[in-house]
Amino acid sequence: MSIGIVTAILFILLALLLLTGLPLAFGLGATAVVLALWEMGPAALFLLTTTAFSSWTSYTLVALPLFVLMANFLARSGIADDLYEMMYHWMGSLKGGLAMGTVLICAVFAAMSGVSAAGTVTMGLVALPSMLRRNYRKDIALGCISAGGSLGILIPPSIIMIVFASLSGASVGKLFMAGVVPGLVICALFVAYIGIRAQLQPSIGPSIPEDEKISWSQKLRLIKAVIFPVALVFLVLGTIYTGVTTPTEASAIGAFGALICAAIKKSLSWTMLKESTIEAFKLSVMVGWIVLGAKSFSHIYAAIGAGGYILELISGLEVSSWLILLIMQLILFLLGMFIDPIGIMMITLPVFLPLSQELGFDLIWFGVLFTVNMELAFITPPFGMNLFYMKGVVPPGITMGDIYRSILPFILLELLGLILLVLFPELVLWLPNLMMR
Amino acid sequence: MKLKYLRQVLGAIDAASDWAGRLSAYLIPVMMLIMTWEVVARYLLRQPTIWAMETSQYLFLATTVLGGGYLLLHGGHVNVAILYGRLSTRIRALFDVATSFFFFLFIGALLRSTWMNTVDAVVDLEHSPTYWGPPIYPVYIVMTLGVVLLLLQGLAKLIRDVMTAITGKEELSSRVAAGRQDQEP
Repeated sequence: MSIGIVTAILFILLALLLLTGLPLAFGLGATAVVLALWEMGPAALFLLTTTAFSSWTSYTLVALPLFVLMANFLARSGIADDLYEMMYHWMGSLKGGLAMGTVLICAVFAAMSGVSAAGTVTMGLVALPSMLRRNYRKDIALGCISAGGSLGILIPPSIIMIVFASLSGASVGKLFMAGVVPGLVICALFVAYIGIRAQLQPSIGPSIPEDEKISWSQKLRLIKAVIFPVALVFLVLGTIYTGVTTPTEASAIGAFGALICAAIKKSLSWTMLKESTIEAFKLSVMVGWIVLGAKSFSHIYAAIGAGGYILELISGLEVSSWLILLIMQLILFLLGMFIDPIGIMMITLPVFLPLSQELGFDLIWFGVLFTVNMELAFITPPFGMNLFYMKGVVPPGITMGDIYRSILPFILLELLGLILLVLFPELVLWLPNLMMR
Repeated sequence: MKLKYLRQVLGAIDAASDWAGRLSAYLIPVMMLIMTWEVVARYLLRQPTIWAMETSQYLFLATTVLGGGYLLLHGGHVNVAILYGRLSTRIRALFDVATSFFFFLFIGALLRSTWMNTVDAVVDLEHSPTYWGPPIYPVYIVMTLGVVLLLLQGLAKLIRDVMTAITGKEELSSRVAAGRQDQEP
């Protein structure tokens, strides 16, 4: 049977299993086993254990639970309240200032954590009630949080980038650094949009009342509360950038440093340690098993020569590589409306990685474009994880429809950011190319 | 009467997964300490270790494999909710019974090949090929153990799903997962 038909049958089987609720990890793994038995016989199943061993002893993946641990320690030390308090007084008097400031805090959060839930949930709890109380229009207040939270996976550290690196063999350190400028660009687009709209339409984000304004010395004092965590972020990213430590070692130092920050803030407790650890554990086990499923699938899929087949098929089309890039982005965008980022990653990368290699795209650049696509997947209705996180924390009067409407302008801005990164690859590659190694 | 024994067996499987998971979770802070120590040893003591990196890799393997059953028990293995999330409990249980064949196909195959690897590693008293070269067979034993726990938890889930599909009620639902460990039904 031709590889084309086998591929079609496999993807139909996988789609059926996933739609009927089988967890991703097992769906991918089972499809891999079916393929192995069908094409190569039971002897090929030894691949499962070798794949499990190599995936789960991956040095890259060790960073995953540790970065989550770092984020949890920091989040539970009350850093969100301190940051918001500072931002409130520094930016509150600007029109739209609280919303712009919330996006900036999300960017800082993104540099402390590798997931987009962290920024969204904490800012939803801290910033949203405060903005609504100050008569911010709800679409701006909601949108800036869901969109700002999605920066979590683009600004390093990033769980999505760690998984991408472990599947593609790209350098985590370089991917991290490649995310910095694009993250700032998209963050700036969000801030500029809010600022310009608030100038034209002051009613969407009024400045805070005069009697809440405080003196400069008080403003400076507010900085003190956030100086340790922010210094820690620079330390972690700095050691990766200079090559002093590997990203995995940096994750350990980050988690350890975050523990010290929590101790300084006197928020260290046995419960806090336990809950942070269990949360990091759940995420890393989940990803670990999905990586096993996906790698088994792609190893066996590659072993029957499918990679070559797809490349032949595509290059036979004789279309420009840009068109194929566009189609890939379109597929990722459409999948993002319905499936969560880890799932999209596992389903598409076995095909997209060899394809982008064949087309001569830079792996780091492609990884960043992919990550921006995953950011979009977090915020595109109807199934955007960030939108669901928001629904979980908003006050009762706000509907899912409000949340959907609020995110639309930010989706367009993020798409604009994506286009900029495609047109100007230097935005992505400048910083990683400056690195020592 | 029979249900009582069944409930006991299921409870024992739940407890095993839960304990294995919670214990292995604490390997994560251990990984943090080991890797932090490695950096301290390299830059402050000028004596890099030969064991830190490899040890943390094996610890990551242990958390992941031992956490498989725990995560299944607590419903943490992520799935696609587009259709599945909208179904009634009973229909969902029916779907789970149907797809469990594929779960067992994958985990069964994984167990078979991991078991064969483990036997080889134990018989040869296999050591890691690195400079440090620690014995590697304990790692394989942990791997087999973790896959067995996941398989058992999958079996427990299947039994529960069959009951739910037949009766339409979640009669045997896990007390550990619901956080009601010390309370008799």
